[in-house]
Amino acid sequence: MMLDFDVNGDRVSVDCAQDAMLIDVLREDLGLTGAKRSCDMQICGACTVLVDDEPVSSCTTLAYDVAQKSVETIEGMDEGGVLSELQQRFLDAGALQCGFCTPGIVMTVESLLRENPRPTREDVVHQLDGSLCRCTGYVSIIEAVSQVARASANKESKD
Amino acid sequence: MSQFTIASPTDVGGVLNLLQEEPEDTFVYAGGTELMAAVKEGMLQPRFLVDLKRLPTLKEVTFTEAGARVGATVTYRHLLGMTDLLSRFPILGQVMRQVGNVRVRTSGTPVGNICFGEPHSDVATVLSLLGCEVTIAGESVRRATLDDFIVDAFETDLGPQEIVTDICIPALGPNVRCGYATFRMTERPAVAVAAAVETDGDSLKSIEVVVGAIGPKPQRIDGLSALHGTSLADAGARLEEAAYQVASSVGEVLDEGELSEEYRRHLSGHLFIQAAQQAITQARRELGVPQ
Repeated sequence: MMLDFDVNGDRVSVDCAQDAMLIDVLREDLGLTGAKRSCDMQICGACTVLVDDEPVSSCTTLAYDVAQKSVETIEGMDEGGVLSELQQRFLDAGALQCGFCTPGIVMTVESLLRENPRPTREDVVHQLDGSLCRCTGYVSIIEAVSQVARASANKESKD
Repeated sequence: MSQFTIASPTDVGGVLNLLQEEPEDTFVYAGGTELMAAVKEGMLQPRFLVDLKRLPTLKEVTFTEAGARVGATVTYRHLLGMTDLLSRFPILGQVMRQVGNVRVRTSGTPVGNICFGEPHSDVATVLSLLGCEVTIAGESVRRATLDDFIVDAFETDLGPQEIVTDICIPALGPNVRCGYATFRMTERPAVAVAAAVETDGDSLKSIEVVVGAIGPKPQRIDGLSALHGTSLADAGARLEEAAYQVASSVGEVLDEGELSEEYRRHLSGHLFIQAAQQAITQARRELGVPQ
């Protein structure tokens, strides 16, 4: 079937099988290898991408189901090589080590920040329940997001 | 070569026509969080999928004095954003916000959950407590209580040429407050208890309890009448006694996993205390009975 959808702001048209999973269309057809297949059963979050601003497990989402929708991956987060604020805070806070889970975690947190620019620590922990990281122990990740939330608060109070 | 072909009809008639063609090899889906997992593991091998997400009536949530009607394809995420639903049924918000993980809540649906008949279900447990009814479309439209609809583990009353179009949740009585407690080691609950406390003045008029995730389907627990008529101030202290009753009243316990039957029964009593205490505490706070 021909599948038409937006990826990171660009309209694409992919010829794929009806039983294709979104992760395979992204990685194999579109070369977007940021999303990782890890548990392959929706538990770990390494494959997380956004569909219409909401996080989904691309390993278990039919590509068919994103027709005419807006898909965003980690590759769309920077602007011409300039990291987003969230990405930069991850670097500054040391919120990644091997980096394998990082694209999924960044997209998951990005979704939260779009909905709530000033999440509490509890909001962040709740959002990340279902994103597994073997390296960092999560504290630095939560710190990175807290930095973004604080910066939002400062911006608001200056306006 | 695709394992299956997918159709996206736009009305219930279209869905039913497709189900009539090859009923044993055709599966309907919305979020597909359970279906696609089962397909990937080879447990289900559909040749035809019917996507329900283009049916407008299945996306609706409506309210009447009698209660709420939730369409089959409405996601947890959508429901969690509905303050009018959550204000009528606070317990639903409490339960749904911790179902699975954020990605499951984006794509998954309560109706899909109950149609799959997964025994380890928070949603089935709380909807059973709330007296949920299921609307089924097939040769005709029929209704069934959730308790009748779920027959056994992974087995529902749904025929191969039928679909669930919506569920109806009866309005909570004005003096009813609910609590919920669950124990989970992975993404699904190992044991879950939902409790509803009805008050009369500042005494506990009645308590209803459903224990889920422990057996093949949610189980209503009878015989807690000893608590009926207790003052709210005293009720908390009597829960431990009632907990033994709950634990021993649980019927069939699924034989699976690392947790023994004995431990899971023990948990059900413990979680009952937590769930009932939540409802009692809320009642005391709202009725001004000192804690």
